[in-house]
Amino acid sequence: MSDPLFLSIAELGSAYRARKLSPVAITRRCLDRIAKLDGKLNAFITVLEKESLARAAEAEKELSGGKDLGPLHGVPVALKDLVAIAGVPTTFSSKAGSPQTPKSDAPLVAKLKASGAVILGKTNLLEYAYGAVHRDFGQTNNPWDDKRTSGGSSGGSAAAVATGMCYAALGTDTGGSIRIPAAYCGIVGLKPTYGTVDLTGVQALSWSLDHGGPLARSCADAALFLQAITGKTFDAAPKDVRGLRIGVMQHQDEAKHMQPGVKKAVEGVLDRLKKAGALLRPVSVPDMDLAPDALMAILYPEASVIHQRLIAAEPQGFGDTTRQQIEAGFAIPATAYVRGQMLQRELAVRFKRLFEDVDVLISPSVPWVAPAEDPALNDDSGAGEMLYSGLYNVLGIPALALPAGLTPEGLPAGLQIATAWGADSLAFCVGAAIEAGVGAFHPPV
Amino acid sequence: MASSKDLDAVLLRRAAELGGLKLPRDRAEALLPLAKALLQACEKLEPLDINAKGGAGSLSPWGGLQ
Repeated sequence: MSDPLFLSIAELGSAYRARKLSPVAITRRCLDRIAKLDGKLNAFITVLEKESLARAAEAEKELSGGKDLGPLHGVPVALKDLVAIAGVPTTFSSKAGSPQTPKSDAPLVAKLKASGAVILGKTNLLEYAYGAVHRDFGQTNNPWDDKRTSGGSSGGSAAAVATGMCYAALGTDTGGSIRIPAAYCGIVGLKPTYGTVDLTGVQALSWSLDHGGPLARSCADAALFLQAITGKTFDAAPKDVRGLRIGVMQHQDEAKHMQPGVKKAVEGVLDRLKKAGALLRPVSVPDMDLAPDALMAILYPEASVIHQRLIAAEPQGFGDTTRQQIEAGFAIPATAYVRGQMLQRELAVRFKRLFEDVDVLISPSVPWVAPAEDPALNDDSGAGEMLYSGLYNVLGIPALALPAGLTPEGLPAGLQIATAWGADSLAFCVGAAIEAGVGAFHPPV
Repeated sequence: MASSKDLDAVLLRRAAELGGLKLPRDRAEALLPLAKALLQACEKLEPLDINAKGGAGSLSPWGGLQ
């Protein structure tokens, strides 16, 4: 058997049920792994050692007694530290309004607990998921090179999954915050169709753009985690791509930002898809490159309204960048917010038409590999980082990030698959077909 | 609201206050570069003429797709 910490969730479940591995032993190993690596990576804010071992013991007893709660029963997972777990402090990686200890679970947490998952702890994030590190919490360093970032805002979840500290984790995504860290850490992350994951009990950043979703090491694992937090069914069986109509996204600013190693890795995947019988054609949609501007016009004022009381009461508790962003959002004209929403709706109509001619859209996840630090939301590098991801938050369509390969410097390059509203399973199934060609790889920690 | 070119700390303070936040002058000055960048992004949306001809009614999210 390969390293148990890097088994798929299905393999782990089979080993549990065959009594070759036990939830307690695996949870103990995950906790040991966190203790060993997290001083360097800074992926976790809260580790629930006692609680997770107790839940693992319970799962072990249940499984041996014939009570089987499904694929996540006894599987160690982690949650981004902006979701409510009853009795567990939530920090939002901020000193403003933090910590809060909720009395009840967010619905997605309740579902996860009911699935038998073992919650190991809560992971680091960019402050309030708003694009910047709070210095008291620090950056989550990248498992492939600890002088680089794991990306944001769900970087803690991504680093934990990539290094075998847990088998899957929750992220949230308002402009790319699941897919960017997935790309930088060489794992899978899905921003599902808008509304798929109930975000009650999850700290909002922008109601119109927020999505919750899984980070995992494979499409199959991500689908199982998404099933557990939604109660819905998702398929991730590798798809035969013969005849699959693939639109290869053509963005205006690609050449300006694209690193050759990422381009080569993505082109390699596209080449394999073509050889396997997929039908590729370049696509673009009028005004789609204005989506990041619409995103800003919507995100900033919504985030400012969400944090209005806190910024008035505890401005010093926020890091400098987050505070500035919240303050600046108050000065966005209502007319700009409305124009952002109008473009959002018009693009939805245009993409609906596009999906009559293509089944999936493919692009890189991010035009570059993990940088040293997360770029500022508003400068040119921030725009580059969200070049491919932000559009799909504006549209609300499923977008899956997965590894395309390693660049010559040995860092992961990410690929993104987007599908029509509700076709989350198609993204997983195409992703699973691509995974088979790329192969599995783990960071050298 | 001023254009991004005309925006200064005084206008920014007024705009933020209209939006619901009182900003001290020094904060407004520190915010100017970010606020200008944001307004520039917003200004890119101004030439668009979409769904603006009346009669659109109350659109559900995503153009009525769901």
